[in-house]
Amino acid sequence: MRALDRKLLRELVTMRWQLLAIIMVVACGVASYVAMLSAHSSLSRSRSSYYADSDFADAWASAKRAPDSVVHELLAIPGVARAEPRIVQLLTLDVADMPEPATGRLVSLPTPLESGLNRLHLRRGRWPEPGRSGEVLLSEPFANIHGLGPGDELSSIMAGRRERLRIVGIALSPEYVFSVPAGSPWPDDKRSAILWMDRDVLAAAFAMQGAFNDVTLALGVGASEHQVTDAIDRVLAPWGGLGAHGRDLQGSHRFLEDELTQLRSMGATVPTIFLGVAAFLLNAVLSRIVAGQREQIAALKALGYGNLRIGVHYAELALAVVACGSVLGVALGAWGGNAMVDLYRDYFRFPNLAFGVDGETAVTAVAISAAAGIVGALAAVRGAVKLPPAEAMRPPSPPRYRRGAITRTLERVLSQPGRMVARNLARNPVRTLLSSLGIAFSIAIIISGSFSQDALVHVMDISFQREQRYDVQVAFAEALSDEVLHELRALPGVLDVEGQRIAPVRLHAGSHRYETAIIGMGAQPRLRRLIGADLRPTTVPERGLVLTDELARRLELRVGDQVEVELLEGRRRRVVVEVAGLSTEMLGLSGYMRDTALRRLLGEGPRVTGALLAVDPQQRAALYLQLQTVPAVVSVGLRSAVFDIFNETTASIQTTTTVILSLFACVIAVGVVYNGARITLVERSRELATLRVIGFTRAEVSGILLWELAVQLLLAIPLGWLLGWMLALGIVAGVDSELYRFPLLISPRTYVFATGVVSAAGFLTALTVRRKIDHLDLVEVLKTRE
Amino acid sequence: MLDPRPAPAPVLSARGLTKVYRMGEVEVHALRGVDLDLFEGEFVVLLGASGSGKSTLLNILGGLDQPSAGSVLHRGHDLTRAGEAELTQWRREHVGFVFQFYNLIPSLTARENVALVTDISRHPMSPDEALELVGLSKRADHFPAQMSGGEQQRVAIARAVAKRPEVLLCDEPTGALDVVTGKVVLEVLDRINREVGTTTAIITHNAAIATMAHRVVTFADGRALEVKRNERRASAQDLQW
Ligand SMILES: Nc1ncnc2c1ncn2[C@@H]1O[C@H](COP(=O)(O)OP(=O)(O)OP(=O)(O)O)[C@@H](O)[C@H]1O
Ligand SMILES: [Mg+2]
Repeated sequence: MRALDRKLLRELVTMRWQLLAIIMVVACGVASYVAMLSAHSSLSRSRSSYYADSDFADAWASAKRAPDSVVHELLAIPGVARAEPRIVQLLTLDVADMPEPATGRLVSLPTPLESGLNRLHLRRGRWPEPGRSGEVLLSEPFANIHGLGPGDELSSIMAGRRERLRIVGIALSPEYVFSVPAGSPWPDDKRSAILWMDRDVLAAAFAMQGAFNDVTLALGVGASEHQVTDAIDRVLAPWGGLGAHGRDLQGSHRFLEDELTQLRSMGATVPTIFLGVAAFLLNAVLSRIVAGQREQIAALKALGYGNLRIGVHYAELALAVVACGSVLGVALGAWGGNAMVDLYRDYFRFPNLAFGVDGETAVTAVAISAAAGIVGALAAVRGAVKLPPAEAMRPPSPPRYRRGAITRTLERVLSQPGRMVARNLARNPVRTLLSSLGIAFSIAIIISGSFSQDALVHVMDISFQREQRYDVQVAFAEALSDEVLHELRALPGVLDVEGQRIAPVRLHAGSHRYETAIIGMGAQPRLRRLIGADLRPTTVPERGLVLTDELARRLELRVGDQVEVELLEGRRRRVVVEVAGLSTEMLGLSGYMRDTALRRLLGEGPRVTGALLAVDPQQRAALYLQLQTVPAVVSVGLRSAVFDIFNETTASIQTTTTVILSLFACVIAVGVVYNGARITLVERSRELATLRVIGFTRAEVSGILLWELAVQLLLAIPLGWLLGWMLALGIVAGVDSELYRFPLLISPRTYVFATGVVSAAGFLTALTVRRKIDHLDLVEVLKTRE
Repeated sequence: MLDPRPAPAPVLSARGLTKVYRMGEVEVHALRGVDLDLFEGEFVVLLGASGSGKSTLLNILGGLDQPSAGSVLHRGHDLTRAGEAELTQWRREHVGFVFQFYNLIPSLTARENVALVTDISRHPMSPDEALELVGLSKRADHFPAQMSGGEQQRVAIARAVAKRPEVLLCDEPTGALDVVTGKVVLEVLDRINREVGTTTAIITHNAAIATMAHRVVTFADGRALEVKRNERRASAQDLQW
């Protein structure tokens, strides 16, 4: 083996702890990048192939009741490739293991069975026999949660009669990867079932022979979705059409898309920052290590080694570190990514969901690290070979210490070692700053990795404490006279009732349009309140429209602006309304109006499409039983269920991600602090040894170095907070969810946590440095030169 | 004892060398026009007060530094106009250095420090052979930090001679050594000069060492003041200091 290679190997062994720390930094940078992006690409690849395999539809529309012949009109629309009519009915289901009723969505099966758009995946059992009544397929998530399978029965009130539905098979559908119960912003597998039934049987039960109330469509290549949906709306308008929409407004797809976007923005921003920080640190650390070998480099040059060979030598050092870090990082990334996809497996109902490390991502991460390492090492090599060897080889001339105004003031109050600390830091302000910057970045990435918890707590507080205060939400099949509220008030355990009129609308503002609902409410709603910018409940203005603040932002609307409201019910009138206020909301994007104003807009009397109930917890079970007998009620939702779902899905995935990222961030932080101290120790060992020799105690000597570290840490803390806040800002800006807001909110706890971790790392490092200094072999240190 | 007459052709010749260091306002004239020839097989000692420019001259001769003006010719070839690659080649093939501060690589053993040079030169001795020459065969596997200053200096000499250089340039090779060790080191240099015929230039503060040389060049204030030829060369053992 060549002597130069031997030098490399020996240095790798000597610096193993220090290099291990850098390797961990690189590994964590690479791992978080690989894990998040691979998880994202695995999920979106699985989704794409699921959609493609099952012919997921491009557009949906529903109507009150349209004759089958209307399908020909739909097929005649330019851009429509396929149109499949069906019957969809909501109903409440009685499930043995749950006191509250579940919401069922009964969907007619196509003929022949295994054809058409949104093809079902039969997981167990068999298809319902055509024409045989009472046989259904049940959606797998619901079946699994309730332990239902082929042969089991469900009971339901169908068209006013209690019916028994026999489960013959279990299926998955690309349309219901998430099943979102009516009236809920959140998917709920436990309380929302999809049932598929023979079309003729379903038609007979609901008097829909020769007619359909729902249609799914596939568009041709290059078709404009807007034009097609507008045309569909025109065709279905006479039949009570409720507005056609594309995939973006399809409940399951929208949620899935939102989750994936979320994962990508979190998954791209945070790990990119981590990788960037790791690369920066690798660069800084390697360049300092190499710079410390200035005299050796000069000696090599004097012996006849060319710049290229010397460059290669140090690049090898960098590559060795990067290679170890990369291997470890990709392995860790695969583990982390797989763990994340496992979380999603219970949640994303795909027939196949396989995790695979995304090769391109791994290569990118490794290349970025390698480039950073090599550039760092070579920059230092360049600095060293630029000097004539004669000059570089001379022991570095004593550094010039300057006495600026600050140091002079400090000197008056400092002891002799204190002066040394101050002058050392001031002598090389760039390096002091870089060291502090490295530590600051570690604080910052811990903040950026963990602040989402704070944001979630805020989301929960606003949504479930301040805004929503009901216990049960019921929805009706259609708008009913508000007389029905008296009926509900009379049910057992009902303490308070508030009617809601929910009107589906499309808002037009400039070039923006957005499909949502306007909710009509009283002046001082008690069970579902509007929250102002000050986070206090506000009154609903007598006239005009209140928008979710985020919706107003998206539509570029301000209070006082006019917005065009297209009513999707009835005759699809368009009305111009003034934006009268904004409400601070964390979940969903909606509009709100005073019930009286909405009635005027709709041209109807006091009607409600649903109600919110406050319920005596003692009497819940009785109430649920009674609710099922109210024929108008098609779905019953619980606030606690929405809360649980949010907590169990979005929040739990966020939490897991946060834990993983914080872990990586902590490792990076420890690596940085440790390395900084070790390199300083090497750079200063002669000076410190000299001090020991002339009579300074161990405590005094290590004090000098430890104070330097302490000062750097103190400088880093405010800088780290600022950087952390900026990184968080970047992440928040990257998140673009319609379902929930991700506010830029960092609690003092997070700042303290980040500072604590880094300080602890600093403290532990200080201990090891202290030990090193205590065992400093004075003779050896002083002998190696002169 | 008869010395072979130095061959008339110079291996290295410096003409009008000046070196000015600029430090802000202050200019330090390290060399103020030096002419010097090193002939084949010659043993030259450079004497002079501290700061008189000896190291500066040696570094320029070895291609480690560039003069501010003047030229260095290696067998008629101008080194001051050579590029980086050519200078590297020159150092690799023709020059052996012994530095005042040894400049061994601390992470390599004695043998490996020598191998650093034998790895890249054309007709080297084996590292063990070179260490044998300086009497350090037994310390071949020791690291610099495990050796005394004199031993480190001998490793540095072994490293310099292992490539069988045409010119050996030594900057105070005995500066940090006691009399006995210093003599051992000088013996080694003397033997190499005699046996291999390596042109050798040695900087020293020790006038006694000058008696070993063919020629003694005395420096003062950046100039080569005086050149003295020794009719008889003393051997290292006979040196008194
Ligand atoms: N890098 C430098 N920058 C500025 N001045 C320098 C530099 N190197 C050398 N000098 C100056 O050049 C002059 C000659 O230095 P040189 O090292 O050649 O002296 P020397 O004769 O070898 O002395 P010594 O016997 O002490 O080694 C000295 O005045 C020195 O201060
Ligand atoms: Mg000198």
